[in-house]
Amino acid sequence: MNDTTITVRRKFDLTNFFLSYGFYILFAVMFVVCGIISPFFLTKDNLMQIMWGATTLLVVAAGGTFVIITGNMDMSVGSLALCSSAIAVYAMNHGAEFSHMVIIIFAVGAAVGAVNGILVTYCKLNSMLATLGMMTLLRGIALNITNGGAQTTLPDEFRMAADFKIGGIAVLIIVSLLILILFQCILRKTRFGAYCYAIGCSEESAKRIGLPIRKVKMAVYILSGICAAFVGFVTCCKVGTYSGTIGNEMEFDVVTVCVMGGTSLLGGRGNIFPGTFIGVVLLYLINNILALTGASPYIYPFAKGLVIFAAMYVDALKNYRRRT
Amino acid sequence: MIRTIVSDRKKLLDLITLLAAVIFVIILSAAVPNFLSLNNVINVLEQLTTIGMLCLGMTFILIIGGIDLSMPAVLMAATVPGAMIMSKTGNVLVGVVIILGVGIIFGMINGIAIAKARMIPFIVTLSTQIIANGFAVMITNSKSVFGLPDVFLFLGIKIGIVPISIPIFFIIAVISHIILAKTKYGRIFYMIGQNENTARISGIRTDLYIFCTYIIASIYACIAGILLAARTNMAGATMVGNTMLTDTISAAVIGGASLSGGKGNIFGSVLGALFITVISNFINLMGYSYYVGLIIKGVLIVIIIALDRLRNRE
Amino acid sequence: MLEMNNITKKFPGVRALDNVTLKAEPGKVLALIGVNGAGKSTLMNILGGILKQDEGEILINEKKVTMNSPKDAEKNGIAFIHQEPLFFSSMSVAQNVFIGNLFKSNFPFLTDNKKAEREAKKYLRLLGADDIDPHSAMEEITIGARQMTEIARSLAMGANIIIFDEPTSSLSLHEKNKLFDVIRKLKQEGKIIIYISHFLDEITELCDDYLVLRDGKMSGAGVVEGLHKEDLVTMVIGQKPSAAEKKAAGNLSEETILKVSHIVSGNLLQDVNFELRKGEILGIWGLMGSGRTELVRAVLGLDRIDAGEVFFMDKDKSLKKIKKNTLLKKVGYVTESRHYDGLFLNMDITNNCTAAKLDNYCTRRMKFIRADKEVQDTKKLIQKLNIKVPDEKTPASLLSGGNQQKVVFAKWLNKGAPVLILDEPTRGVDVGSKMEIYKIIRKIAAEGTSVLLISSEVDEMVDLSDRVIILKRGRITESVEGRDISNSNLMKLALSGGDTHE
Repeated sequence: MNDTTITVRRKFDLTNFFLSYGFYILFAVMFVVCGIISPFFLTKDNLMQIMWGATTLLVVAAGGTFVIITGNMDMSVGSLALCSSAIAVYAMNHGAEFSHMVIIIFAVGAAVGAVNGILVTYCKLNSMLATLGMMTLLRGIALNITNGGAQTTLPDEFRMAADFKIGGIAVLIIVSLLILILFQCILRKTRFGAYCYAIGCSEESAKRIGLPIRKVKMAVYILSGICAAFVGFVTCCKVGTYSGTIGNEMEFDVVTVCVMGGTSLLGGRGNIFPGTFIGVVLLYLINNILALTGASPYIYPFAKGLVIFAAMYVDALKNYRRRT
Repeated sequence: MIRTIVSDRKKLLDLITLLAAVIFVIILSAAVPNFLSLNNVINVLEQLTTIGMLCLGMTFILIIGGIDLSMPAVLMAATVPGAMIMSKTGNVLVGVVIILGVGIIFGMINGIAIAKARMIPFIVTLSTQIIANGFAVMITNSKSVFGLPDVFLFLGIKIGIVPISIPIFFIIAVISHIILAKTKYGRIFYMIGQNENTARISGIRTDLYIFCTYIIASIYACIAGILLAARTNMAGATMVGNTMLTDTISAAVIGGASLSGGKGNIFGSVLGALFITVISNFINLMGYSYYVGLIIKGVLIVIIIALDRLRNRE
Repeated sequence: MLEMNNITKKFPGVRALDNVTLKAEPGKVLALIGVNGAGKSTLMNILGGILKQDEGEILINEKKVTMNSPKDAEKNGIAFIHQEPLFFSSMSVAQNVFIGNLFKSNFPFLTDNKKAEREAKKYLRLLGADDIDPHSAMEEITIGARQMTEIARSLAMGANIIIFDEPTSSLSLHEKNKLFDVIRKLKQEGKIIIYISHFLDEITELCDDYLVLRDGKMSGAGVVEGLHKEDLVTMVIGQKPSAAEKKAAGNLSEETILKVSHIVSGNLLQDVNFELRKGEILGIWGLMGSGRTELVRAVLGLDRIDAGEVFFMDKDKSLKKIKKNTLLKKVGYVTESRHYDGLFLNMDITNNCTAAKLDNYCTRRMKFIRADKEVQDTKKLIQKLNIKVPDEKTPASLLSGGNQQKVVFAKWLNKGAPVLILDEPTRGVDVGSKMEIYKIIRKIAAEGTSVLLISSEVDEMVDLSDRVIILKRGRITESVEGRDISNSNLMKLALSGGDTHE
């Protein structure tokens, strides 16, 4: 009698294990398979290449994770990245220098984040619809003040920031990773983080217990706005020029990587490290391996879609089990 | 008593909305010289057909409490292979069947994942959006397809000055309205959106209806694709712009649908789609750039959502 | 000492509270009783700082206090334990206990989660709930344990006045007893406790003083000891309740309409067999967690069945094996929670009443809905069930609990299902509507409808059932009829034995 109960338990745990860590397993398998397919894949240069690509999405997805954990959405991040750098370019055309531009980029991010926050917390608008409106609006502003997003050469300091390396690793990568770890600490170790989870789990309960819901939500949106601005900044650094394609389609990528990493769109569940981090890396890994194998670039989006669908499906199975 | 207060308030707000719309049109026609000219009206209505068709499908989806981000992508993913076959073989029938077939397959993927695997609609359709977009890019290598057969282009011709796609759209809209407002199936859609659990307990095969709704939405996307391809004589991976999704959702919400399900109607959605189209048209006529248009649209979307929120406040 | 003196609160057109005085002493449990809409929640919302009284004052320890917000109430040591515990599902028990006042660690900005766990353990031990691991996530523990966590949270926030708002409605018998022990313990420590409940048994068992509200006015107050239950009921509903009409026995048919054989489902249900006869009220009696609701859901095909078969007698008068998913189309099911899966809250009463029988209101070919016929039938139902509504177009959300439950009944009566399954049919329903619902149940059974009744209230079981089967840990252990259906016997059967299998 005792034996059977134990076996049943163990079997149950094994399936659970696969489901809980299904995404990590998928990631590990892809990593190994990629290593087998292309000998070049596991070289330091290539891995650095993947990380270099991922730096933009990493930070904005970390900010997005906060928003999603509170049970909301921020669809304006891509346009915000564009808009903050566009305003900086506008200022440059009117005589601003590098340092001013950097300040402008982040100030715009924080300001727009605050506007999003006000729309969602004080005007009580549906977060997805409100930020969709902001997405359209911000893109319009950005393209309007930069003549439709015409290519503009930026001050040399941007390029230099991108080339700056410590111990052979680009400083932008290091900064991104540090931000990620810092955010994970905030999420798990601070009062603010606990409030984020609490609001996501049940806003009604949080309200009745008297948690500062509005302040937390405002802070989360401002944080997400600053992270989006960081994307604008990093993209400018990497390319050295401004163009209207910054942050294109980024809002959906953010949601995708967060959910792949186990953050629930219903709120209250998820983490930045390792969840969102691996989500981002996986996304760039797909493009990387396709490029290494010399596949037609027109296949990229389709392959990406298939892998995302698979990851989401595994996640859904996990949640399905939790519910029943 | 409570009810009368609520309904009076609602009526008042509806009246205000209608009044605002009338004033809006008057201002537009005064400000823009050609706005109410026959040519321009027809032009607006013709543009309405694409976003309007998508919006009809989206209304069904929103009513059952879902969301379909993949509709514009499915439009392209379905139309492109059909158009390729048509331009190669000239066989319209096969082409249209392929368009509908591919569309329905995407609808089925959405439907199975949402109704059977109980995945969150936002996530599922986000994934299929990426897949559908990728599919369209992959099979065309990002090149547009031209040279569609004449029989097919018949759908794009005009009778007198009225393009045939306009009456087609309005007939479909009326049928959709009747289904939603007058039949058992419409009632069931609303019931599922209001409370899926109650609907299931009441003996309704909710999973079946949800599954079908996603297929219906894909079919609407296909029809929109067919009409658009016939009008422009081309199909490609960029045949609808990337604001189409936002426009469609906004139009349905402006028309009274709610992201939390159970609300919305065809009449409102058509008006919503018309509103969005008129804005674009207005920006065109005024000679503003596309970018100014985006700004105006963005501001309007936020304002309208806020108004809607006021209207539905408990 | 908490005093609320001469509280009056007006809403447009209604006097929600009229000169109500409440006195609660430390070390005593005050029962607050009244039907839905009597003003209990208004009074408690005033105490909680959610509403503001028009007249009257609140005194705590003879000092006048003003409550402008829930924060003020919290500062004055007032805590609420809700019917549905407030909790954060993915967070740990410790975090839930201390969410309002998280500990700072030695590092700036950071919180000390380890200390929270240690302290949470302390509070839980104080409540006699040592078995709850402060590290486990809220979603993994039972409802009773969640409630303990909520009580621990109120203590951690320094509460002196604790208000329990119908805390037992989703607890098992065992959990309920444990909760009562905790309340007694809190009482000994000198806390002021206000206990809101519909269950009169609980009040006589637990409370020291009582206050009854009816239509916003006080209709009685005093000491519970020596109080007759009938008098209490009179105070609550304003009239003497008619003595429960016991259904005449012996008119049962021998025909079986529903037969369940060898059902196995999940980890709980093991080889369940029973038969439901035509026109009988069959009670399923067992403790919370014995698998009552799970059994019904499995039979209806809402949950997966691992083995076993269900037979149903359709119009052709013979028992036939039924396919999954089809039984729901033939029978009625009043669920445990009407808000979760009983009603379309934002739809009007007409749509709610016709939801289960839409085909009846459709034209044959195009399935157009005939609205006039819908309204006609709904009006009849409203009259028949005495549903108190302005008209048939009122949204269900605006009705009181009792009337909402009647709408759920109306839906199934309208369908005319030969079998009606009732899962806690009077939960959260005021005493007046409860009596009316009993009457309805007896009437439809007399008219030949078979009823399968699940209830946690032993009185309800005894009053209504013709036959009772006892469910214990997913198995049916016994079946009792006639005189054997008594209060004491049912309690005995549910609690005793049953562990021999383990």
